Amino acid sequence: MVLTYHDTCNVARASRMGDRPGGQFEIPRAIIRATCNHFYDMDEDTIRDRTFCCGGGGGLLTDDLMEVRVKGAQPRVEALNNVMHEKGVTHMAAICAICKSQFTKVLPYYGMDMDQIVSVHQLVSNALILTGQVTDEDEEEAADEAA
Amino acid sequence: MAKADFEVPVLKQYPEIPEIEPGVMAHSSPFKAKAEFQAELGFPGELVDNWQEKAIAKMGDLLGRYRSLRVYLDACVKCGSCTDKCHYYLGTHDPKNMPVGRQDLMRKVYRRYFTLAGRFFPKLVGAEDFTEEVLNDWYSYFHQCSQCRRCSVFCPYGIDTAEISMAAREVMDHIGIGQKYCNEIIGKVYKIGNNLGLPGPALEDTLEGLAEDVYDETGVEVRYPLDEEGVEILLVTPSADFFAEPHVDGLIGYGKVFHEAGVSWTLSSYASEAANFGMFIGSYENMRRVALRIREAAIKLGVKRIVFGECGHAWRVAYSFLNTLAGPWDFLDPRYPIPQHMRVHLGSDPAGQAPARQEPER
Repeated sequence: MVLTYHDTCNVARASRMGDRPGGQFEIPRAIIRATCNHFYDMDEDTIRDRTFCCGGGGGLLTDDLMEVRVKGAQPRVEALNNVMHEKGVTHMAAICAICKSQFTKVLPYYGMDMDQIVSVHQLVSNALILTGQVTDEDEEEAADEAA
Repeated sequence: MAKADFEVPVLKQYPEIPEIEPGVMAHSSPFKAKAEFQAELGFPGELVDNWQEKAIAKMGDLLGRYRSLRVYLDACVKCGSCTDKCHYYLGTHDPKNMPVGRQDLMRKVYRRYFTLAGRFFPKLVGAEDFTEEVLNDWYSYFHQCSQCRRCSVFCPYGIDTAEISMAAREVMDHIGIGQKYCNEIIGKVYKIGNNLGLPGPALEDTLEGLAEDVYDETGVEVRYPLDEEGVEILLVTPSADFFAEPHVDGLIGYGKVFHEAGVSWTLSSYASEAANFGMFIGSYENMRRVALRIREAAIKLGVKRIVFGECGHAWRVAYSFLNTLAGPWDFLDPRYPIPQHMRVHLGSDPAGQAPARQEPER
């Protein structure tokens, strides 16, 4: 999995996370970097407070507005397409239910796969090893020791 | 590849600013809300007879309530900074999807009825009567704005097109023209508690299933509680998290993080929705009514902290408006910010290693 991150408009602009300005940009990225080995940002003009909307926010996430949703997603999908080609990005993480639903529906119009969009806490969930959790590695080690 | 009955834009290596194609998106309008759904939100069911008079009166009301709206309508100097910043313009090429073009739809009406020059010399100042044609443009193009506010980042005056588009939708709702998608969803929140209309038992079922899945996968009993009183944290998350992919994988993640951090938490079937579509339609009253459900649930469950799940506009409502909208929150633990975003505090593990332990940070 090679990841990039889509800043959600309503979190990115005139908002904050944590106790420092720009926390809403740094915190999600720090979380993603801690859960995966490869992370690349999209073009600077399309992220952080200049982020492009997914195309489905503001009450437009409905099938009767499909044309405007697909066309409005173009700038974001274009930036995603470029990091896919230049950096080998395979997935894009988001922290907004609307963004996730919109991309799941719209990416296939651009020949991309709907599974390329993931939740940030899905990444956390995959990376987190719970206390008492038996992992595949543990089992392998136990098998090695037994052998 | 998904099939489209319109032309899907071609992706390019470098962004291109398209030439304008006037009117190409004039046909795009969302379905209108039926009368029964309008009533639930306090709006007339269909276009009222004296709609023009009513619309102008409502505009006057909003201009009096929100000083910002008047400033935005007055301040534009047509510098052009915003023209290539809207994703809907870049994708559709329709000049009414340029932020200034969208604002002008309201600005011309504002000038006609609320400025001296517009009243006496409309043609000189670009003022226009609020005709049916203008109203149709409003309904079409104010529903081609996602209120993302990217344009306002580039506007030297900080004009916020989102606020203008919210005001326009509020005016239209008050003369009986509402958008089906938003208004029906708000109705569902009032009736059932969330945007998707998932009742309590369905939520309970889903959460039990998630706990089983996590147990099968990890051998650890992670709980996904619903309506549990006396716990520390109320988690408010968008209802899509209960079943849609990849949203539900995020919900599984929240539960694991709370579990590992050793904090008690619960979801609420009454406030089972973080989203607040009241903001999208610019209706303070409806936004407040939706937000108050979170307050009521927090008081009833006796929680000390409220944490929001992964949702963009819910976070704006929470971070920017919740204190005045549904406060005071004096019953919550003052050692934590109110409200909080679902996120994790990272350990010092080297990048790429799964952190051994993560916990929700204040």
